[in-house]
Amino acid sequence: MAIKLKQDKKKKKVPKKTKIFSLIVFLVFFAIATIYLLSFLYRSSLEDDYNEMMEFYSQKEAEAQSLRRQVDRVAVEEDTKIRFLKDIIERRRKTTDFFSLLEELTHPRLYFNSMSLDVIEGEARIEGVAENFRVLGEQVQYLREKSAIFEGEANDLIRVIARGGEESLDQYTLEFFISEGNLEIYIMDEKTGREVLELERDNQRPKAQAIKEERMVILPLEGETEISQEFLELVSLSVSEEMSASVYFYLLEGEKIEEMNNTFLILEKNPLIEKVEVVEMRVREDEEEIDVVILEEEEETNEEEDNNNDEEEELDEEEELDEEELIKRGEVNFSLRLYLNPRMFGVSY
Amino acid sequence: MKIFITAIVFIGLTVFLVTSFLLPEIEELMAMRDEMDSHQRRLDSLEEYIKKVEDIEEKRDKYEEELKRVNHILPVYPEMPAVFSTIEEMIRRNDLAIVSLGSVSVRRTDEAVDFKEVEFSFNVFGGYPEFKNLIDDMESLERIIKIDSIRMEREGWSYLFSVEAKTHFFLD
Repeated sequence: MAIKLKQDKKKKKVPKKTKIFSLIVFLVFFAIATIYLLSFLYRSSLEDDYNEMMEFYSQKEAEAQSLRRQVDRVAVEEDTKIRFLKDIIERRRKTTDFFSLLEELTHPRLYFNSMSLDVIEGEARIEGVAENFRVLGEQVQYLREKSAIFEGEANDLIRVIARGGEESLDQYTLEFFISEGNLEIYIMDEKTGREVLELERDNQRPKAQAIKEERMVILPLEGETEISQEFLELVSLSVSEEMSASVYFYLLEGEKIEEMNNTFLILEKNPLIEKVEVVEMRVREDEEEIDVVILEEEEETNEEEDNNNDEEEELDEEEELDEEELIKRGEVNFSLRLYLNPRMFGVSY
Repeated sequence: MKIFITAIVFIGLTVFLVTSFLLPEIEELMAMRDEMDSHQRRLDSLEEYIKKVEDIEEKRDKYEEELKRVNHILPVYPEMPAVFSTIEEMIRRNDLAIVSLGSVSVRRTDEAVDFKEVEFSFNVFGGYPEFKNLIDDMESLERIIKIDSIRMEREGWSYLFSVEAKTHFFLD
């Protein structure tokens, strides 16, 4: 009994604080162990969710992949096609527009007998036939109104070759060049194939080019019709950039030397012409050239006439000497050189 | 004293449990959670992409006819017999005489690598107004025909027209 009491006494000796500490320690351990066990349950649930999600994700990714391929194949292809088509359509030039423009610019008494149109380069070369020089002059004048002369090149600004024989038509070549908003027209030298005059329709033109525009020598073409209507046929005319024009006439009938003199006088009176010079005169009989008379003497302008009376008299004497012989022999071809009046063309030299 | 020792043992066990098992487990669970979040975001963006594509497809369906026309204008094959047949019909309809029709060459376009162009030429004989109508008809065709050059030579009261043109097809 004493021992039992002693043991009870000893048991009672455990401090309360120690007991509480031990309890707390046990509880903490128990809690941690519980958390650890619960984490297994959570992991299991999380893994299920994860697997489900990954399966769903794989499905969606496969779907997206398939759509992406479809987009690449169809949508990108269609987009490329549409862009290409848009580009083609934007850069497309309607050829019929050119025909309409050509019709609008063509003189009714002139026709084209050949044409070559390069749509890629935007260039057309057209050869046509005009009834006469007046029509050609009107045509060029019309082009001048509708366009602006851009640049003169080479020695000849314009060269017009008349076709002899029965048709008596004038041949020339016009070259059209259409760029954005502008119409450029070249008049080609048939012999060299080079452009001798370039016209361009553009209102925004630098002044320097506008001066060149004034060099356009259309008016002598118009004046020419006045002098060649009955007895003369203009065989060729070329105008150089240095403001001189070479004219080659062919006397058809009538009093030949007299007609030539009249022509000479008419040309001299033309305010556009500063000086006229006889370069060459050929006498023909039965279409065969039998004699060549070259007259290098110059006819001076009206202003200088008084100072050069002596020279003129010499020339008249020479012509009088030849006149009788020329009338007997037949038709006469003669070539004149016209010096154009720069003042009339707004160019100062 | 026994209780104290037992408490110390439990503390040791607790520390061991926490450091060796619980913390790695928590880390692993957190990583898994993060991965799931990341996949969820990717899944959302995929769903968004799919929805967009579906919307586009829905819109595209409205332009089915136009797209068919685009595919007709730029076919996968040159389909030149059909082009020639159409041109021949137009030439006859415009009272022009066919002198020749053919001379085909195929090459890649300079503009885009996915396309090829077929160059062809033909010669017709007849009047200017008729030819102008023919060109107008050709340029109004759904299958785009680009006229590259036209040459015209007078022969009597009519003209001989030589035309060089091209059309395109898609290089599949």
